Amino acid sequence: MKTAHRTPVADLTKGWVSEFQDFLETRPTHDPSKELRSLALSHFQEQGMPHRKMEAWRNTPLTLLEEVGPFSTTSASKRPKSEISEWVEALEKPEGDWQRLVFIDGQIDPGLSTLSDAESEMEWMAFDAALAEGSQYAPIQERLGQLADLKTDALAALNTAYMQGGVYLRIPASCQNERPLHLLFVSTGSGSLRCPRNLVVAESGSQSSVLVEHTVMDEAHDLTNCVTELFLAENAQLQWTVLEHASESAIRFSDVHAYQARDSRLSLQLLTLGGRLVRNNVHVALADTGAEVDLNGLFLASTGQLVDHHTEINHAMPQGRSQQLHKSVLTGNARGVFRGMINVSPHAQKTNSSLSNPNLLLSDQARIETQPQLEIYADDVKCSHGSTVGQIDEEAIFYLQSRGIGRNHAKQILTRGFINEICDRIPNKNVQKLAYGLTSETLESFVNKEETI
Amino acid sequence: MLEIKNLFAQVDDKEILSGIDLNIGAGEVHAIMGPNGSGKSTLSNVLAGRAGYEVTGGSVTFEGKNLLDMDPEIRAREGIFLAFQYPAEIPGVSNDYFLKASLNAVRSHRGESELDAMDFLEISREKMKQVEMPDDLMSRAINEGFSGGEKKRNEVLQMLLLEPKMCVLDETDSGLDIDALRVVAEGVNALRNESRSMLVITHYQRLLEYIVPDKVHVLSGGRIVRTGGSELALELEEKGYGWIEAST
Repeated sequence: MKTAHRTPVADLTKGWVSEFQDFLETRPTHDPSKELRSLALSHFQEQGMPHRKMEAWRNTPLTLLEEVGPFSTTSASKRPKSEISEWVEALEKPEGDWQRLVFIDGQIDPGLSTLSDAESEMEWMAFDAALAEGSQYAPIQERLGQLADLKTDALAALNTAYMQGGVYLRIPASCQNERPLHLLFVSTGSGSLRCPRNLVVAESGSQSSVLVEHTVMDEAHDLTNCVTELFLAENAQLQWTVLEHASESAIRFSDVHAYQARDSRLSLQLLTLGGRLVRNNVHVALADTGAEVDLNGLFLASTGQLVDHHTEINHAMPQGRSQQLHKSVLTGNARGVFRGMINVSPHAQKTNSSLSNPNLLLSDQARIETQPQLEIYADDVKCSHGSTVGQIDEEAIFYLQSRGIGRNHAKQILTRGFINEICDRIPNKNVQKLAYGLTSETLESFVNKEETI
Repeated sequence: MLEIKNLFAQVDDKEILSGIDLNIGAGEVHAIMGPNGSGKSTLSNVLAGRAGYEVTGGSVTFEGKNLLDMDPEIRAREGIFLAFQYPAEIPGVSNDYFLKASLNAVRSHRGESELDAMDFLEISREKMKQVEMPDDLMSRAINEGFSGGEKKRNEVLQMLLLEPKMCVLDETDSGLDIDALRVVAEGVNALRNESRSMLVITHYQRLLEYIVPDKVHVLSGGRIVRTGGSELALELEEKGYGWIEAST
């Protein structure tokens, strides 16, 4: 997609800085987060946007922003509300009984949301409302920004300056995964910058399941820059699944930070099924003994798309376990980047850690840069990591052909199978089903667009 | 049904088959025996159409049609079935999904209606009983983590479902214990009838005690060097392949 006018990245940055005062004035006068926002903006201004001279951004040129932007921080949706509501209602939802919070361009829409007031369930507040109400700010302030570092992460700083939409979620010990929560973020295509922020506190012994879905209407060309901080107390169990199915012109940055206390278990899935330029970072700190994380990722990309997944797991204490499977399927001239870093500190004896990153290239022009990394400073650990890049296995194609299945159909079945291994790891069966459906649609669009499978 | 005439084939520029002649009529069961490296597996791969096996001379006709012109999937739909010695393991694709896709591809080629999930379930359950296959193997990924015996049962299950006209069994007995061998052989025997033909490729005579062939051919150096009745298999078992090779 080309626009006649390109706005250089430096000018985008300047624009966001200069619009900040106007944005602050739209906030309630007693919003206690104003000070933090101003601080964050100054950190953003100092750092500027990430660039390719930074190791972590070496393969991900943000100049792509210039082709889609500019992105205003204030523009409102041009679409009538009824059109948006109809679109959201028609969207396929996971089956079963859910609490649902719907955010339209960063604003919660109570009419489209479905909530429960059962005592055992999660307590939530739309992030904005929680910030605007002074009385709620203390518990938020205690945690906010503890994991996302304003000084070293320009995008986290930008998010903090403009944070709007998302939830503050407190999951009490009494919550035993009675009803899962669906957070649905919809961008309507006003060419804007959106900065949703989630702060989740899973209390000791709680069990819960959350689906975070980011989607855009039609060919919306918004920029979403999302930051999520997850705190898991002792023995807490949290399932956090992120499904992104953006249009081919949308741009997304996302940071998920998790901090895990003793014997907590996090199951985190990250599926990226669209977007012009997507960068997802996941940082997990296994901060105390016996903490476990299952982290799985998938991205599917075709011509004109660049998707980049970075993960980092820090094993700080003994007997931690981390298991990661990350896959990608690329076709056309798609570009993919995967980097997975595992750190095992000297205290983290008996760590069990694995990382596997198989990638499937369906065309000669698709490229993936993959870099699994291990840094181990303890001596009694079990760690493995590896990545592969390849085409569909000819042996497998022949096996299916020899049973009457045509070559192209065989390739589709095998690609589907490659993806299934990730979908199968989504713990919530209804989300799993939704993921099968959405990934199938994406694959079909590949077939129509690229004619490579 | 299957007519192989003066067939030459090579793999990586090395000639493996050097003029095979073989006629298998409708309803006949033929066995091909031979030492390692004699070309047994090459023959089965050439019949199934595997890439990398280059036919350099001769012809293969199946029911009057030129088999060598057909893509592997067309051969399968026309009724050729190769039970693999080493079936592929395919993670992420469930066995039942695969078998249903396969059966429907073959059925629509025959002009029959495609089966829905319920119909397929009913048919597959019945066939699974025949090969004593536990239910959970249907929902698992194709052959992934299957034991040697389970893989071979899965091959015979596919054969029972697709009801091919011509079955080629490539060393189906390899790696099987005696119980699995009996189950597999019973499955194969259940398919024997006056119109269905079979080509049983094996190194050992053992399988032929269960699947008794009409004719036995001995393959050596890429050619059929001797043909006889089922008693030839016993003779080979007793005397070894050296006896044949020495006398040709």
